[in-house]
Amino acid sequence: MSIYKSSSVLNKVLEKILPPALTHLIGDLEEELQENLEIHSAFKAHVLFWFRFVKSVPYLLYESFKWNIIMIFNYLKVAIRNIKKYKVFSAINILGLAASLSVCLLIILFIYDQKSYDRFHEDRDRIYRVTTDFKSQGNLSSHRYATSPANLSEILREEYPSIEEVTIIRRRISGEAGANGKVIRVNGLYTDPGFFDVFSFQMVSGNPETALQYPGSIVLSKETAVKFFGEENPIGKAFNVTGRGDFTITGVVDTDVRTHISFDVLASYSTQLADEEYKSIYIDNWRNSFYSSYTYFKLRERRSVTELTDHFPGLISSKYDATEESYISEFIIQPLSQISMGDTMDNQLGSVMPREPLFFLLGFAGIIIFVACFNYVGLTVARSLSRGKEVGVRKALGANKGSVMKQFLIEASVISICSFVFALALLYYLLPEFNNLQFVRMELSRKVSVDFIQDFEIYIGFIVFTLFVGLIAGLFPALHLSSLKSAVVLKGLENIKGLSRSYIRKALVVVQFAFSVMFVITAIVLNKQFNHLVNSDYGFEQESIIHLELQDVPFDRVKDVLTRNADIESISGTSIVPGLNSRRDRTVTSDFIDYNTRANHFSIDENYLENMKLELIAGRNFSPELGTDLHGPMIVSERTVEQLGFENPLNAIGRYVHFADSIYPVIGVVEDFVSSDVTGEKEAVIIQYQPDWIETASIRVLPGKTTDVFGFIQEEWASLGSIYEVDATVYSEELKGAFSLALFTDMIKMVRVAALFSIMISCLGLFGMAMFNAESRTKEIGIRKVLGAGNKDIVVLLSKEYAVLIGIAIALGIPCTYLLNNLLLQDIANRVVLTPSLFLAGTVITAALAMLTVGSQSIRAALADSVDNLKSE
Amino acid sequence: MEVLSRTEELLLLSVWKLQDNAYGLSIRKQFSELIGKDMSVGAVYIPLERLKKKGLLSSWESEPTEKRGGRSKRFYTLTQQGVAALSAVKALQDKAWSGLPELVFKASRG
Repeated sequence: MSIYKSSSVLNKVLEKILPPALTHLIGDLEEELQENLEIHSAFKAHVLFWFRFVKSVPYLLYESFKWNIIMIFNYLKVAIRNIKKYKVFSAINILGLAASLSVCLLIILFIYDQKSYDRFHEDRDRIYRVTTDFKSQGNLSSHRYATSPANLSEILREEYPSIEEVTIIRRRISGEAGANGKVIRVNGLYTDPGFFDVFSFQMVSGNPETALQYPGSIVLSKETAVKFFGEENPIGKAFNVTGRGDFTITGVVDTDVRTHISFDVLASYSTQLADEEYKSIYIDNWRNSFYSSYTYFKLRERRSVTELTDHFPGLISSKYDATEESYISEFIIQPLSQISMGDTMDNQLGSVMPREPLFFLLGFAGIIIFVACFNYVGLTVARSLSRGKEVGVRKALGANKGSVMKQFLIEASVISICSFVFALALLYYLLPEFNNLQFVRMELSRKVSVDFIQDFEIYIGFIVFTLFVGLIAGLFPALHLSSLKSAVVLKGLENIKGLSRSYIRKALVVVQFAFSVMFVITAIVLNKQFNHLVNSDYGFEQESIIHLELQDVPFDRVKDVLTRNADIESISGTSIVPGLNSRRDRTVTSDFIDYNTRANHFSIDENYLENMKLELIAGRNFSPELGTDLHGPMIVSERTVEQLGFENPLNAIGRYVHFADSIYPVIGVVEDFVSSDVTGEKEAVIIQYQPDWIETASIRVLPGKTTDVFGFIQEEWASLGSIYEVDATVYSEELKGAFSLALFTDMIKMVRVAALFSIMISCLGLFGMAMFNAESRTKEIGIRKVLGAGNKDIVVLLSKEYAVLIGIAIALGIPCTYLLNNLLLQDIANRVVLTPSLFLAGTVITAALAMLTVGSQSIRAALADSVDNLKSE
Repeated sequence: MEVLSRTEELLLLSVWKLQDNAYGLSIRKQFSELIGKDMSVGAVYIPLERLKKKGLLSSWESEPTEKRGGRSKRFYTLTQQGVAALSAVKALQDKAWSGLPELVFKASRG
């Protein structure tokens, strides 16, 4: 239409936005304008024209609305017809998209769930937390803590007028609590009355103004109150927390809300302030007090946090000396909404989901959704030949580029909505698996984790996302097909070069399989690494060991009772259990080095080394008979010998370890063993003879008697007179469930799903492509066979192209996999070697699946009757 | 027989009068002139399309013309039913007006 010109910009605009069915209306407007231009001045003509237009707006709106509705229904009808007509292609696209959508929906649910934390606070947009950046140990590596110095809250309250309310929360009041004749373990926090001003926790009974005002006050959560007192009103009753003293209950608070601040009890902060000695060491000292105090504040309305941050550097320099080895370098203000899935920090208050697992999930989901979208793009573009004719006819009948695009986009949306239904069904199976992942179970505390939420908005979110994916998938095919010129397409499709864009299809297949190879190999490598970790030599014997937590029972008593069982070989005790991320890091040094180093501290009895089969390579074991070993000399590990600058284990005997303002002679050296993290290094260890510090009994049983003894311990526990439930575990099981291994298992599970989905979707796509290819070459195959080609030749002919593509994909995928796996495993000390055989295994699996897919279609085409083939048109 | 509204009747008359030149703009002009008031696009097209739906009018799109910036015209013409409807209106009109006393205002006696 460009050969004609419009006299007004408005008409050009209308031409673009109004449906083609209304051109005659624009024509009327244009003609009237032209006539007016002849009889009136240009200005008047245009004024009249605009006047006419304004009067016509209601009608134009009505008509275009009507036409758009009509067209959408038409597009829908055509879309559904096309889906029905090309059943295999539709099924491939719908299944592929459904698989990837289900993963995405899961992540949306997960984010939604995380974002639902702490949304019940009235002024949540104005609530912030002060976090601390701590530079330590002279190496200037900075460390974020969620905590801040205790006295900061006082300063914020008094010196910063832009702050409305401040509260301090201090960890931690925990231990067995006694009240109303019951003893139950509780976990809680210290806080001040500001807690109820900043946050919107509701008190069921008691006065929020005064409940946490005075020393010795305690507020119970509703749950805790019911546990101790049932339906009785607990206000004014006595509440004793072992080691923390007597409290009076001043209130009950409703904790049935989603929040990162979890507690059974809240004790008044003034209780801590009332203890002069404690106060001077742990609160007034700006260096000591920041590890366990949290400062939350509520900003006044329409104030900015920069008013605070501008003053912080001055405050810091008045309290800390930046020339020291370790110091606080910055206070960073963190909005309440960014605590969950926020920056990674140490000493978080309660359960907070870090951001990293989410990045992993997002990465996997992103790749899978692209692999599925590639299927749609590839298959739709491949069908350009048949769809091109349709476009040609539509355009000849007056459709413009926009309406053809709309048609293809709507088709893609219909496909995506179909897959949404399947995705929901898949999600139903994925969800329990996801909730079982260690990081989800651990971080989401005791509340219900991700679930099908009843909220309506999440489903709207799902559908919006689904449509978005549909549009992304449909965009390229829509652009490609709508740009076909009707005259050219209708004349003869075969002559048009690049109509089916074969290079794009090939590139898509390569990318899909490169990702598939990557996931499959990674899954194999991680699996191998996991087995390697589980079966590797930790330096101690883990078989036939049962651990029993002593809790409130003395070690000697446990020993007396259990030695009666003949199946028990020996009993020993330790303060911490190796390999379970237990860590008592201590600073140590010696005369041979001029810096501090760190070592994991164990308190054990004289049988522990023998019991755990820890080999002494120099010196002697602890011996109670000597009478001098108690709380004195040390046994160290080889690693410690090295780090403290002692030349060798033999030389180390008799040398001194500087530790906790005192010096201790080394009497023995043990072989290195994994002392804390099974995925980490065998760290430096110092061991002292301190039977009174034992927390866990380590029981060695005769081989094959584990179950019997386990039952025996359960039975005997009652006779030990503990107020607690028995807590016994089989060590080898415990190690498999160790924290870092569990996280590793999570990763393996996620990569496995990613590998499965990615290869499944890619093969589906390849299947469609090979089928299409074989179909479009039916005649060629017929002629070849008539001229004497064998079935084998046909199969090779049809499969060759794909074999090359898969080859390229593998060649691209392997280096990426190598880099990815090095990255994933970099923090693991005891790493598997990335041998070629691992890569070969993954490559063979992927290639075999791909060729099986292609081969099945090629063979089918080759076996078809050649006469039928030639008849077909 | 369905009774036509006044607008419909006048529109049919306009189309009849314009004969081969009856398209959107010309009909609107003719109609506005007839009743002495400028009519909006909607006020003309909506009843035109309604008449088309009733089967009294038919329409076709012309080839694009230069004067209209390359847009087509939508022409209307009376169908057989349309012609019948108009003549029925005419007949009814004549019948209703015949035999009436002279139409002049008479002041009431009092």
